[in-house]
Amino acid sequence: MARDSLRQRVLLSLAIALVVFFGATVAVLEWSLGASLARARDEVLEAQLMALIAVAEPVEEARSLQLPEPPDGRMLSPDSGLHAEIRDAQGQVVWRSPSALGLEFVLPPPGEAGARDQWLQAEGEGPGLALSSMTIDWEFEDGAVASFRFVVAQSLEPWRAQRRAFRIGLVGWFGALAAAMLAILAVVLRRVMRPLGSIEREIREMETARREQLSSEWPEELRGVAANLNALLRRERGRQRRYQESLANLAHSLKTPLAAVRTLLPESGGSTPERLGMIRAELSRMDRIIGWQLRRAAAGAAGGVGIAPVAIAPVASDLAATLDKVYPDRGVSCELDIPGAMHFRGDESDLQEILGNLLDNAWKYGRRRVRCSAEVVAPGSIALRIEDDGAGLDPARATEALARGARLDESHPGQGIGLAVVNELVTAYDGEVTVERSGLGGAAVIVTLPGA
Amino acid sequence: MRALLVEDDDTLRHGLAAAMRAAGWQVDEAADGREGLYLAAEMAPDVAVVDLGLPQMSGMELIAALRGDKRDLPVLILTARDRWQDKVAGLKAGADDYMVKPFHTEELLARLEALVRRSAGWAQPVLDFGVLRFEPATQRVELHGKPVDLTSFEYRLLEYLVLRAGQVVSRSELIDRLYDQDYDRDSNTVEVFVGRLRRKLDPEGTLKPIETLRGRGYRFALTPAGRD
Repeated sequence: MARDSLRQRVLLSLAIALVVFFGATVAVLEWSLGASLARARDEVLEAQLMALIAVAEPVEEARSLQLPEPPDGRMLSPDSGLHAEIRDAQGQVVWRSPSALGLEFVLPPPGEAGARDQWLQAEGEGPGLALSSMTIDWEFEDGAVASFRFVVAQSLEPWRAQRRAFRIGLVGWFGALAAAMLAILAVVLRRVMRPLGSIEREIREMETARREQLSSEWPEELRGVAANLNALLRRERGRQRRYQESLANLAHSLKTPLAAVRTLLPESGGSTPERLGMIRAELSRMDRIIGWQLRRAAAGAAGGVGIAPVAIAPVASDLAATLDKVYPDRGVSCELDIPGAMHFRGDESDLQEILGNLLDNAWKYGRRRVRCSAEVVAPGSIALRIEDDGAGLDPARATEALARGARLDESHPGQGIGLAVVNELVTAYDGEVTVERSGLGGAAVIVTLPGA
Repeated sequence: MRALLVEDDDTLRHGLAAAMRAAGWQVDEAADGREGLYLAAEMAPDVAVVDLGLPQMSGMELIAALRGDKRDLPVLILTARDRWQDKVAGLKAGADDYMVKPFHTEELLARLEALVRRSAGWAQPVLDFGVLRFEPATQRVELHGKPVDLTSFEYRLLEYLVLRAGQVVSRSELIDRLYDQDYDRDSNTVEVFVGRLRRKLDPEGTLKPIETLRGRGYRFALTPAGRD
């Protein structure tokens, strides 16, 4: 339930409310209509009864009644649903409509003259009957008076059919109305919720580093949320910048004295006491430890939110230009084969650090040629390949070089921590570093990174 | 050879300047960017060593200002920030090389030699004049394949002339480059050292590597191997 969308929740709640509301409406309407239909039915029955009494004719000598022609033609045909009979005071049937063939009316006890009764009678498998009776005293011509009971019965079928039709119509119409209402609501909700979907999409884009901050075109209710989120991101980024700044300052303040101490020590010569050599070695070690820790700590943007994608080609060509300047005597020619549209999703300085260390190694260990290429290996994943034509790096040494950062205390003087730093950074981005032999003859280092 | 050293840490600056002087450099020291810019204009150094983290005017601004003056002064930056971002930014701003603190003084000196050599138009690390060969990075001079033993000052004098082979270098320019400011400009030590160099490089008097142009100065007269 917690994962359902707001839209689904609103629609579900409204659907339940509509069913309850319309259900109750249908029930009330049906009840009240059923009552008025029953009233109408009883009035019709009453009219039939009066008509029956009106057409009855006396049979003087038998002190009885006869009906030459029933008031309604339906009373003549069986199964017409309209029946009538006349009973005398003893309950004997005096006259019976032909339609009532095979029917037995169960009458309540007769009352005084003028008493009326109305009741319903079940009818086996049939739909049941509505009955109406009236007892009247009939005065014959000779002044004799006899009591007769007039009964009219009507099948409940037409009334039932009416109610059924009404119920079907009611439920159908209200159901259709409810469905239409839900559909309209769904459309309205989709419109109302669209900005929420957009905000979610933009946040997702920030997570995958395709966007730096939320855009500003929001409905009034969301503007505050977006602005606050952007402010939070800015603060967070500022904090990260300050953190990196302070690390850099720490590096400066630590390393300058180290450099000073080193300058004070004589560089070489037999007269240098052994102790000085040891101090120098310790200084180197301290420097390496500080350098390692700072580089590790400063490489922190991996997985950060709101980082703009970095074009790779300009970073690589800047580094190549730098290395050309730094190693002018090596005469290395560098081939860059990186599509202009290729981007790295992460921090620019991390990319500079990764490529810088790898290219620096290639320049150092290569003879004449260095190649740097990049390709998309999977959706969202790119591979950078840095090759040289030097002596190459055998797998055992490559593994050692990749892991060096972990074993600083036994590190070898004169060997950089470049590859280990690269490994650390690439791992932080869930990437991988592999070393193989290059087609140029030397080492090929391949790193996979998030990008496109 | 004159170098400008801009570094705000006094201990490092003094130590470095001492090591550079011991290697025969004339060093102008500045503790901040503004002073560095002033000295660069005033002393016309051959190379500058600039720390990136400077007060007043950052190293990067100083380099930009130096480049704005359209001077070809080679610049080596010193940085504590061992990140490629800073190296790339420094070299893009116009620096020619960088060193990360802490560094070996010897390596710094070798890099400075290389910068000066390159800015004088020599792409190769060895300056080859056939019988005479110079290797500025190691301050090695060979005559007929045998090393020539030179004092630090003699080497400086020779290097200055060699890097300007074919050009006339005046006596006062040499004094500016090779001596401290308070040097007695009327003394004749330059003549004495040129005489000593000639004896060491050309004992038989057949090669004549250094010409004297009366009233104008000196000229290194040999032609580089492979150049005419």
